[in-house]
Amino acid sequence: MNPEELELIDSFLLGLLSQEKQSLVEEKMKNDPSFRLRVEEHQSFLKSLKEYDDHKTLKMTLNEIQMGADISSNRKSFSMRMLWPTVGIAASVALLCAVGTLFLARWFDQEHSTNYLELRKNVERLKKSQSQILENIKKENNKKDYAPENYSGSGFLISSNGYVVTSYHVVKAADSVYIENEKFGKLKTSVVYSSPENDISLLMILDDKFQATRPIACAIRGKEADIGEGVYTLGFPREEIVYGEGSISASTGYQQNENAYQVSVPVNPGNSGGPLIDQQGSLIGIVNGVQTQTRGAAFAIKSETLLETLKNIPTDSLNRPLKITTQNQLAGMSRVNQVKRWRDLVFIVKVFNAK
Amino acid sequence: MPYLDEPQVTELRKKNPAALKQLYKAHYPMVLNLVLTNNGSEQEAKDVYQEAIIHFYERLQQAEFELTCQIKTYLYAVSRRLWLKRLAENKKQVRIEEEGHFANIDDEMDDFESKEQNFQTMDKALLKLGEPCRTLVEDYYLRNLTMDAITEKFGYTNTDNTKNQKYKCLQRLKRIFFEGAK
Repeated sequence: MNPEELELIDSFLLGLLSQEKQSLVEEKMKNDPSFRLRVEEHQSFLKSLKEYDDHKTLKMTLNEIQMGADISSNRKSFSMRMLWPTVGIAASVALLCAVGTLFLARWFDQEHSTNYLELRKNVERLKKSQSQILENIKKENNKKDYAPENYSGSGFLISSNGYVVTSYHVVKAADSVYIENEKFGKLKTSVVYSSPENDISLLMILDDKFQATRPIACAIRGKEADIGEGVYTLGFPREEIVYGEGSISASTGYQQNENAYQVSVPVNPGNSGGPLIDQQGSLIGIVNGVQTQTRGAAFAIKSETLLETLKNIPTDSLNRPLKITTQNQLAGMSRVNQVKRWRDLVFIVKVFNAK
Repeated sequence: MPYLDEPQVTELRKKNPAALKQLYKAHYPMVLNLVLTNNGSEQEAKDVYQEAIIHFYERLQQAEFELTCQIKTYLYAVSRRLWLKRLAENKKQVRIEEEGHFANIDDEMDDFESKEQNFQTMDKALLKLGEPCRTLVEDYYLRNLTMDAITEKFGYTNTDNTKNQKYKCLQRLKRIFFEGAK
């Protein structure tokens, strides 16, 4: 290379040459491999130089941001201001969706009394089985007496710091909500967020007995399931955890609800709010209802909808950040081992109201 | 829908400065906490965090780069690796609980290493190049000044003279850079 050639190549790369000269250089690159190599080498060096410069500028920008404000104290108000245009758009879309689904849900409410059954369990109506009574007697000595709950359903832990997902219709009339399973015992919770249109509620564990667990290995699947995929559930139609299995029958729910699947899994009152789990052990849905006139047709809210709902929770309504796993760690485990991991996360949700 | 941060990623790809600012502020406390609870200082936390942010931001500018996890997970995993590396360099042994993880983190770290290498080498080469060469090269190749403007700024008698200077300076920079890179 010499000064003239460098000048030519630089002008060529910047597109400063006349049309004719530009094509002349291109021609030369085609016919003269050593010339082409020099151009390419030069170009790649300039790219490194450019990257260096961008990197340095970025570093300075970040330093300015760091100096600009005390991050910890101003964080919330700041991020709201920055995101305002986005939030505006998101909010109007959300509003539109909410109005749409609410309308649907209302219409749904009137209809479903006849052929759609939500699966919360009215405990008063159920006779307690003998085994339960025996169990109660056994536990009586070391346990405080609780009034029996009014309703019960299922729920599952999604965040190691104490957030539990269940169905909205399970907890909607609640004065107080307790959850219980073998591993953690009985824990008091409060409803921190509800999405009636998606039939999802988020509970936060209040009990001091509960300590943040290891990060949860069970992931929420973001990809929609295919028809025919094998699935299973864990839930509390009785006082004891019950396993059921089947497959995805349809990619929409009751009345073509896009946010739900139809599944062929045996479910009973009390299963509502329980996890629907795929072959790999990832969550793909939340069980929420059955169609009364068709045997074996149950419904579950899609995990995608759950993720979206969780995403829409305003951060200031949560004391602790949600820690959600989307990286599945149970794939390849046998069903039995998957269930062992899952069963510790599934709770019976007991709802009390004075009524 | 593999992750939740789509709109933010779109804004960052467009180089929206507000999005960068928001990104920086959103996750700093997490990394600050990570470093402080593992034998580090606030200054070190800041360094590690900025490296992670810069790397992420530059990756986003590459069309073929695809984010396979949440932004938060990505930044946590990269910061954690960077901090572990620094600790290892200072011969300190710590175990840091792995809360966030994504599949191709090793590739990310390799990519980070090579970029960092490139940055350091170029930094040293430009320093060694000295003035007025450095400013001349930067003015032409980075600030896009025309040859005429440079001729006037540096007080050269004509543009041919400037061309010669530019050629000499660039050749020298390349030589130093490639020697340093070896």
